[in-house]
Amino acid sequence: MSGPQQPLGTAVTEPVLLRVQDLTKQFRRSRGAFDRNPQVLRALDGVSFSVRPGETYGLAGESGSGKSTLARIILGLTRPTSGTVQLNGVEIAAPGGAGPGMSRVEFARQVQMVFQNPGSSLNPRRSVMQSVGLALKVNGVAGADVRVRVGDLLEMVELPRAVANKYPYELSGGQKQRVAIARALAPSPRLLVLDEPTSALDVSVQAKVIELLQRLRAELSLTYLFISHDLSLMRTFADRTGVLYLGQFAESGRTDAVFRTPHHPYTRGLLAAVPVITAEEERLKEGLVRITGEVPSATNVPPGCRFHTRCPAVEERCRVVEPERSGDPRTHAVRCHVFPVREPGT
Amino acid sequence: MALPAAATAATHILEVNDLRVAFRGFNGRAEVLQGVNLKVGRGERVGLVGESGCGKSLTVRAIMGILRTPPARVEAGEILFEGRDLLRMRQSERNALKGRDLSMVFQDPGTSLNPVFRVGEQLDDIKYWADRRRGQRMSRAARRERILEVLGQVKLPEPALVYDAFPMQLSGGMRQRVLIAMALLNRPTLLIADEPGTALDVTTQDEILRLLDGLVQEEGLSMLLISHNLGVVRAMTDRLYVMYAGAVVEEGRTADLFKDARHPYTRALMRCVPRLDGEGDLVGIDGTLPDYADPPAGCRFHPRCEFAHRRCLTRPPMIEAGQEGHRSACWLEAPK
Repeated sequence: MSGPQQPLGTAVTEPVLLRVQDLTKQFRRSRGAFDRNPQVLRALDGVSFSVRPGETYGLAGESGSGKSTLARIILGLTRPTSGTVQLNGVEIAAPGGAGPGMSRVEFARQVQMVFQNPGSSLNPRRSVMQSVGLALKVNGVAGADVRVRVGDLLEMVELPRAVANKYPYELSGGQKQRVAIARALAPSPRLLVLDEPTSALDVSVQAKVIELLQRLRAELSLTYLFISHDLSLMRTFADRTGVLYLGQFAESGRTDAVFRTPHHPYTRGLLAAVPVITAEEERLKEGLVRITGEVPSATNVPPGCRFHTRCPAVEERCRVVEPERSGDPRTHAVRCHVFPVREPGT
Repeated sequence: MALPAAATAATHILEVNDLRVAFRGFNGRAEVLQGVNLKVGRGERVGLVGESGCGKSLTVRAIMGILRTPPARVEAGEILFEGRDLLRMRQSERNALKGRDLSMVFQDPGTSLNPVFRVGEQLDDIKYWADRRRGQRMSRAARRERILEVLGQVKLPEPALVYDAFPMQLSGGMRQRVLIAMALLNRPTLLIADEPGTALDVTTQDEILRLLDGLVQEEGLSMLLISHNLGVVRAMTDRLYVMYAGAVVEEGRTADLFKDARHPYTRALMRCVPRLDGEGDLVGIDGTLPDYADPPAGCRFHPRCEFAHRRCLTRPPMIEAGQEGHRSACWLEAPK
């Protein structure tokens, strides 16, 4: 099902590990059993993107943009209202449906997750050995091998083997996040969903964890789906980036293209708001118009372009007609009437 | 006013000298603040930056007099506000200053407001008690007028609606604005802002910071801004103090500090910050913050410092008091 925005030629063979197609998720919010007009919250509204093996795809957006819902659908924690998610050509999420087209165990061997807060994602009553060991059982590791493998995994995340006998409360935030990464790596997955993996950490620790994730990606040929609200970090870490606004991509493409020549007034406004530490970065922000106001509620998505209520460049058509996607999402695409991406050669 | 004490009071609204705070716990005594010195000039915007656990919030709590004692104890030092030592005045005198001349914007807009009272009532309380402590009385209607004025000043649309709203009916950005209004209500001379906007989205944070900046200039306030975000203090302050493990390790004009950081910690910290232009590699800092109950001898940063030499292991470097300008507490910097 390729929508009208799908430019011809995108379907040509290029290796894709994760393909998200026209994903929509709506939540019904009823105010009690007798509510005849439950509100519909549109968390995701026709999101499509592909992640190539070995790349880091970044999802950026403010709170309420739908980035966490997207992650939850990919992980099979919630079902989409419409659209599909394919992993290596196998459907892993579809509306209604029978769930992933593979067993739970097989799925766990393919996709793993690192959560934002290692303080609450590790069981406080389990030792590191137990937490990481349990994840190994998915891969059929048993008996004395578990101890050896847990030690290996801890070394892989640059922790001493002795950490295996510790409990989460004995570890620092950075160490806990390394344990969470070791646990995610235990079933040897191909795709790692990283949901704000460093936003609970100090910058000095964040830098170390990012360095580690970069090394692991190369060594283990991992693919990352990286969710973050930190645009500077996104710039450093992601190969390609999609900027979500109210459940839809405002702009997406190669990270350097999106950051160097942002088209969408929302992307430009986001970049203008980032506090920076050098004059060179300041120069990058020059000429970008800031945006004001707050994200409208997803129960009441504005008609036309959903950003028009806050847009500094709004025109009449923006209030009525929803903009189509222009450009190629593999390189640079944007949904905006005023600043479309003009494809080279056309 | 020819007295020398009055002369200092005229240049600095806040002066913290050799502030030492320790905690007593089951594991013994932990000396956390080990002689913090900082000054805020009149109309100056000063930043205090550092990572979690460095003692920046503790310093601010000691200044505001909201430390939990015990377990904390101010062991030494003085905190001069307009030339008068807050630590050595009567509690009633201090309370009269607190929340009036010396006011604070709290960090978390989610938890700093009482969920069961309307915003207006909470602001009214603050106004009422601050006035009473100074022996003044204002009618409820007059207080309401002043509150609506301040709510308008922080650019809240429809102040009258906000006045009657419960905190949960407001967005995070609006709640942060209410907290700023709360701090401005009694026309303070010094504003202490603890990580304003940190919990908010980047566009909202940006708006809050710009609002704060505008208000500080409009009202001619002095500001002490606490943050872990180097970008935020760079944009918002004239002068900067960098803290590590309970001490100021570097101070100077903000522009100088970002152009030419001297202390190995400040330099390392700056290399940890990801850049919006994608330049430079992220380099973290090995190791962790030392245990305050058992700190390393000498310079507290030496176990993580790539330049540490023998002297650093035994003798703590000091920022000499009295000098002005850009300086750092590092043996590599110290004059022979």
